[in-house]
Amino acid sequence: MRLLEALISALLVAGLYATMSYGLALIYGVMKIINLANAGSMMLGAFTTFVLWQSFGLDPILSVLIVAPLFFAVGSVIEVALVRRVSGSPPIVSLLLLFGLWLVMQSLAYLVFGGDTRGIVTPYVQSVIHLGAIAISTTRFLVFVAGIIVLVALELFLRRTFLGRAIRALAQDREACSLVGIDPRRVAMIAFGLGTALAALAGSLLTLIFSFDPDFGRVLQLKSFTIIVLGGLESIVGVAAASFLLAAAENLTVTLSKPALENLVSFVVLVVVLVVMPGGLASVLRRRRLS
Amino acid sequence: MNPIRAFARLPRATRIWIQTGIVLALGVALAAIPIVAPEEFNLQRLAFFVLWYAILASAWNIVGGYAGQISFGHSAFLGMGAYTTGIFWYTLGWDPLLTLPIAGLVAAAYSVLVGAPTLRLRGPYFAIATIGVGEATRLLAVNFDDVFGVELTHGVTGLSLPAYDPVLVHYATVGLFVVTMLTTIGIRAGRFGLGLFAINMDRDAAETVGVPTARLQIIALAVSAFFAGMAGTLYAARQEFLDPSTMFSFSISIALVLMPVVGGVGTVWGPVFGALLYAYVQDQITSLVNNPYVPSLLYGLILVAIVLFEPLGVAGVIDRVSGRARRLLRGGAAGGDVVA
Repeated sequence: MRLLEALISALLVAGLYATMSYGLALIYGVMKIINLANAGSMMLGAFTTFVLWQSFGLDPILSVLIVAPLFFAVGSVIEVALVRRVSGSPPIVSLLLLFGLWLVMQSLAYLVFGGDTRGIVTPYVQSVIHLGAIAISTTRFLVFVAGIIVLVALELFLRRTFLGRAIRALAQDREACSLVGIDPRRVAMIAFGLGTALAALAGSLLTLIFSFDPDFGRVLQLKSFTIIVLGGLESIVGVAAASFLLAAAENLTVTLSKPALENLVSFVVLVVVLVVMPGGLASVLRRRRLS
Repeated sequence: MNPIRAFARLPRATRIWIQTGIVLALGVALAAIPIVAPEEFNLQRLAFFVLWYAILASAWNIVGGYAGQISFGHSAFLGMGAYTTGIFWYTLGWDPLLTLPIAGLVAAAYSVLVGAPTLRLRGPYFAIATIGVGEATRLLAVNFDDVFGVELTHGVTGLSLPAYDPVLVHYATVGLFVVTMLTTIGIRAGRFGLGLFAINMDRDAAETVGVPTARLQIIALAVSAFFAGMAGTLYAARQEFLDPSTMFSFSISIALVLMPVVGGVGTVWGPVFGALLYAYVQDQITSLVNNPYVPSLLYGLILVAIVLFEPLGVAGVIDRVSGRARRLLRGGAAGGDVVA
């Protein structure tokens, strides 16, 4: 029973993990850069939600409607003002640039909000949904549902709209895109905006489950990266499966060993995955299918 | 005449001899500090930290600058070395300075564990993995005793080490600084460095001409971690106290990225400039502002500005300024074009 509960709890966290990782995968797919400022966007998203909740009493789930568009704009501006200038340089340049940006975001948050750990207490924080003998916390369930809705909407956008298809096309072949009249710069701006918005949105949702301080994105950054390495960059299904695997591994570690070791798990998983199957889950499945 | 360009035009052997001479002269001068000024403890402390930062920044530069693989978690290797020394000193009573090579080797072995899977692959796998390695190692140090049932790291309380002669540590630091600089000068001028630069510029081309790209990068990381680990020993001997949150702190990792980038990434002397600047700013800023996040904000802005405007850091600025000065001088000598 405890195992089943741990797995369900992992599944619920996985929705959140998938949301925060997909932004990273989207930006990497289109621009071939790792957005190290992803953690900063997540953290700022969480603090924006906190401010909205504190000043206007806005529920964190509803604040997503403000946070996501706001950070879409922020991300687009970052892309146009900073990232675009280093496109075509070696990866080390964009890594340093975004690392610097992350440092700026984090320091600003420390200066404005201080280093205290914050949390948002909603009226329904204590309530529990009963499924037979298993109890599920309402907040976790809500966050899971919100994450799923966002991911499904994103998937529909990427598959059904012209812009979404342009984003996927750009991830596949940049030159062919230019040939058929897609402006790679405009698409890159939108992809970066979307990725940032997803990270901030994940930050908003996180406030319901975890407490946070200006430094809290750093561990999640590594988790996101582990997830996209494990899940592959192409499919939302891969990202979802990898999110679940990581969440389950963490949950089992916490249940069976020490809670303090939770953040060690993603690092160990990352190293093991890179050694055993550098192509991630997708490559393993493909190999199976071929043989 | 632009000194940097003029220097680059000298024959290779001459360049190596001149730099070796500078390093040795610096070493002698710095080693004299405790003899000339035995009562100037603040000066001695400052000298230690400048040299310590210079060693670490130069070590980072071997993998970050020469091989072009950025490590955001070098504090892991530093802390690994420091803890190795601390444990040998605390539990077995070994002299900390004698553990220098052991600490270096442990850190190097640990770095290979991180580097071997990530450096074999293309793409920023190594850089991202290093974001986690500092935190993962810190957790390991905090929980090691509980998990394995032995008393080695003493968890969050840290290791309180016996007293040690700071003058001896000073000499050891100067010695390690000299060795580190000679190593980076040697790598920069030699075949190994050439291979690393080739990988940095174009990995495909390097592989085509037979450079074993993955192996060279892993060796570069191991050498880098070796020196970082020995710097950890020096820290343990000087501060006589180790705890996980300082040794594996993210701010040290940030400083290690910042110093070479500010000074001039991939150059021999850039990290030393960077270390000098960083140690000075750190020393001054605490008396100017109380808030530790103001400097951190400043460092972030500096990183962004350098990447956008002057990727070679201070070295690039010197190059540019002296080029402009030369052009001005030449214009003046010819009595020709007036710069409005």
